[in-house]
Amino acid sequence: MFNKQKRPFWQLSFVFAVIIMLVLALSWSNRTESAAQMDASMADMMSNETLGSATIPDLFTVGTMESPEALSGNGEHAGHHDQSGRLYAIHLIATGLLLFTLPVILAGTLFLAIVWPNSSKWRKTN
Amino acid sequence: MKFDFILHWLWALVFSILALSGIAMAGAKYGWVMQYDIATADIVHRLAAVVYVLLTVIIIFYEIIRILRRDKTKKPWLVFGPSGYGLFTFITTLVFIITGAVIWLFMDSNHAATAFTLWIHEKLTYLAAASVIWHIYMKSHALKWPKNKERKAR
Repeated sequence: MFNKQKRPFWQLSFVFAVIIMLVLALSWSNRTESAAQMDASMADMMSNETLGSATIPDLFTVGTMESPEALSGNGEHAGHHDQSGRLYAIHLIATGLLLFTLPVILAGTLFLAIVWPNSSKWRKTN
Repeated sequence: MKFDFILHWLWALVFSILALSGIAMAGAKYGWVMQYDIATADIVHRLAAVVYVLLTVIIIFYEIIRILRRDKTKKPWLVFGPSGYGLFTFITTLVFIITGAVIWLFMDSNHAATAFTLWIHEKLTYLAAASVIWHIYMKSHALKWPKNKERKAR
């Protein structure tokens, strides 16, 4: 019935199916939070709330749009970032790394976009 | 063990962690993936994202060095390539990194940009996850342990 070459795929699928069943069973046995009330994903909710009234210049303007928390009067979320401790230090290092590597990635991408079409030709001549 | 083989499986591991922690944060519907622990999922996702970005830099540099040295040896396990699934992975990786950086850096200061990039980031996750399943199916012959291959060859 199945292609013999594809047997490892079905074996792997079976392993993942077992893992998913175990996680689901664990999840259902520990239903302390009724979090499944919201069906929409975070991205869909955020785009419904924000993008409906946003214009294209808003995408490139920093700090002009009021956050949904501030608009709803739930302003205490504005100060929820703890600016001390190990977690904040990790956040700073990670952000620094991201800012440093992003231009490197973009430059590398540009280089590969120029060079790859030619390299494919001489690699095929091997 | 070959460098491209190590990079491939490191990449697979980091991508799996990112996909699972990301899907756990995508919405309440998928929160069960990490027992609704969104705070842990957020930290895990951010730390894995840093490793993902560093791996991307390493693979780009590795490919650039190979081209500059005019290296013609085939690297079947290399994550990025000028065509096929390697090119697809490269493009999706760039989109993931750029949209992820916008979400990371502007979450508190530009909600329009965050909402827009978060939407792309999330939808691309589903596409990438589906493509990974297809990729595993197409390359499933490589999942056999080398020992089995050697025994059969004997």
